[in-house]
Amino acid sequence: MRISLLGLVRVGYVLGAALLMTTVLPRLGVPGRLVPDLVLIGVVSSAVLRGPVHGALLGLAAGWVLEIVPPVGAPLGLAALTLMLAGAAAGSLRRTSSRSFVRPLAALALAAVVVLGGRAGSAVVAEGSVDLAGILATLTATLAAGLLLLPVLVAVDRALVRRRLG
Amino acid sequence: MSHHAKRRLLALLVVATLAVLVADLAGHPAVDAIRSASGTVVGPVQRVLSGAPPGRVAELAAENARLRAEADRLSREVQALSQVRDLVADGAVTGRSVVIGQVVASEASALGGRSLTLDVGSNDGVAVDSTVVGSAGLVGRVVAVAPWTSDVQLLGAAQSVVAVRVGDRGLLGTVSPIPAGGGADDDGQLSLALAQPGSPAVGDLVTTLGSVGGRPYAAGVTVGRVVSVEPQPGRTTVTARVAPAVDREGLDVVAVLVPAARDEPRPVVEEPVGAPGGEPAGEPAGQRGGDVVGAG
Repeated sequence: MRISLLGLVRVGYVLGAALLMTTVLPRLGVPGRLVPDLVLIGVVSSAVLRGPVHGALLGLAAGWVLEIVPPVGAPLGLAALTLMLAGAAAGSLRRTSSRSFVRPLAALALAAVVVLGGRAGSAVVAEGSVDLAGILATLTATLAAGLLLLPVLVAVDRALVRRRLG
Repeated sequence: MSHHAKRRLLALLVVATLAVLVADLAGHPAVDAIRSASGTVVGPVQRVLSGAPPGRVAELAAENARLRAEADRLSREVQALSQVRDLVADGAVTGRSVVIGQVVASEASALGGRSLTLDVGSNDGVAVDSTVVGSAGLVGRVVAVAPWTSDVQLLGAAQSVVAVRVGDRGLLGTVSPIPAGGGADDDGQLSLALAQPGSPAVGDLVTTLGSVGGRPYAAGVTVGRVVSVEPQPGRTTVTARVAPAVDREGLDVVAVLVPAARDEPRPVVEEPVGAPGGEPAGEPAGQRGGDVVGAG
């Protein structure tokens, strides 16, 4: 497996996004429910160009990064698995011919629903209740951030592939 | 990487993730190692990113917390001291040997009423059936003693009966909890049953009669005041309601009266020679000498 610039960009993005989500944004006073899932946006931007298997693999790896960055998830591994499913779901919307911007956003919406659905499900199992308003707020924040970030990430990905750096 | 290799890698990683998930749910110690390792590695980065306070600020924050804890402790001590002063200023404690104790636990008894635990015990001289008083009056009696703690049955607990004197005339009676179904239990009021004919007035002071050796109840400790008298036509004795003097919910610092048994005979009071209106000497002592004793 060769190391490519695109791979390094991916690793850097996921690490930076994980730290931003867990440390910087809460420190800046962003309420927890309004922190967008930046890692998920990165996974979707790559998955929607390459398909479900790649999306699942990337989602699992990114999910593990998110788990390992403190606060460590509990139970360890659950978030990685849901992010894997979300990556696979986003990858299933791939169309190599399509350059539409709506498609990545739809993939992000689908993936976010998968992640937040998993979170709501585990909350129901663990606590018997779920903060639906908080989950909808996170969904909205993630989609809003995706509206800004997804075109940039997709464009960077395509540019790197075109220059044979991917 | 080929498509097949990717699938194989994905399956492998999923299995590994599931293994970690199950291990964490089962409480395997290796998962805790992962947690602490991640904190060790990523934690410093997060500290820098979050702008953790530099040395001087952290030092001042720590000192601030320490001083606040100290201030809390001192204000607590001042409060306890003022309660001790109230206790000592009250008549119930003067002239008696007491041990000052603090309530450290309180429990609603299954039989009704409440019991307390004090932070004084047999090593402090507390014995079973010692009287416990607060600054306002009688709290209860010690029912069990451990080396450093003792359990107190509160006034008004089930099956607690206190022999009392009522009012200026010193009518004899007993104070007990209001029996179940005996009317509304207003603010923890107690039932007073007179043991002799006579009628108490509302507002009469109720004090303990006292027992032999001051156990379980010392004499003359305020129990409360009569708040209502129940008319009972056709009966010679009267029952009444008594509001206890102490707030049994908010007890903190209390005094345990250490019982001191009398070990020498009480002297016979003799009429001074040449006293005016002389009655035969010794007769008053025969009529009035010696305390009236009553069991608690």
